[in-house]
Amino acid sequence: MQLGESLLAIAAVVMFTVGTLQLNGMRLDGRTRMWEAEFRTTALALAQSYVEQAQTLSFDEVLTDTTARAARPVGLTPPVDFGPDAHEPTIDDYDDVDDFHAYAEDVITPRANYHVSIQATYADSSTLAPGTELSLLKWLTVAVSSPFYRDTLRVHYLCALR
Amino acid sequence: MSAMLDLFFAATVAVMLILNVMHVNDDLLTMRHRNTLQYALQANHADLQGMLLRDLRMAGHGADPGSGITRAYSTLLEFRGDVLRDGAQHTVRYTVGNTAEAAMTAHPRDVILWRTVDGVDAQAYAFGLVDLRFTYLDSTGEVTIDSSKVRRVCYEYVLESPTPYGDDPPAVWVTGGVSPKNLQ
Repeated sequence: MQLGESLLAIAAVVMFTVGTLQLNGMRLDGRTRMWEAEFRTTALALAQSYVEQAQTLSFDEVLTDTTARAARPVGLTPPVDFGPDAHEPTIDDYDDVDDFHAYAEDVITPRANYHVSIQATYADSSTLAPGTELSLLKWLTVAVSSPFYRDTLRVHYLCALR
Repeated sequence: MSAMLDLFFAATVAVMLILNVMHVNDDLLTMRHRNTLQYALQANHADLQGMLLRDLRMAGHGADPGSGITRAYSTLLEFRGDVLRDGAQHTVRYTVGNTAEAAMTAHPRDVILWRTVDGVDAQAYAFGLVDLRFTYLDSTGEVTIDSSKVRRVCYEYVLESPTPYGDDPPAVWVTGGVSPKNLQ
């Protein structure tokens, strides 16, 4: 074998090796994304269940007292007071949307474990951007993370005072 | 000798290449199959959850207080409500069947979910449902078995792909709950 032929053979082997490694990388990536999609499906269902629960609650604590006539939005709960009240030790005791603020829970399912955290903010009436000014709109953001997928899955629920 | 070595070397590389291509092909087919099952699973999950939410939100609509939920068991739920949106009250019953009823499906462990409206037109749903349990909470958030005290219906189910896939089929575990406004 001449030197030129040897070099060509070596180059072919190197190309073959690089191609194989890249192919393996693609397969691994595809497989990872496939598994992540499965775990995200459960994560999404989990987030939906919190939103579903929030949908049945009052917009604000002051509105749970039906005899109170609070000015709106001036009399609503300020953002610093978001979170469960003293008489709401568990999630089943929550009676308004912003009680979920700063809520966190580890959920262990038969297939994977998830961490759920929830944030509540007011939303700007015109831009819908999250903000601290009192308004008739609130954002509830349910974030679900897991070691079984990258990033964090977030579900946003815009709650309006009707 | 040199020619023999060349031939041996070329044959080895060719065999490695062919094996690699076959392996990649097998892997792609496997992934495609699992992806297809996963899409079917997600579609079934969306259908099942959509149906449960639509019905449960109507629970108690037009019914007398305390009579919205008529039967409350872990695998049987019966409630009254205007689920057909025709202004009349209907009795809806969900029953979780057993694996023998789902003998016609390819999945060996799935069960049938039965849904009847007014006791007729039983609909059998073969979603790939492996387990479905209802629990009921009263106004204090405690679990209750008294149907007249139910304020929140919680569900927990496990769906697997409609056809089996080894020991670890695509699956989704779902938990959720509905607090129908008409039961508050």
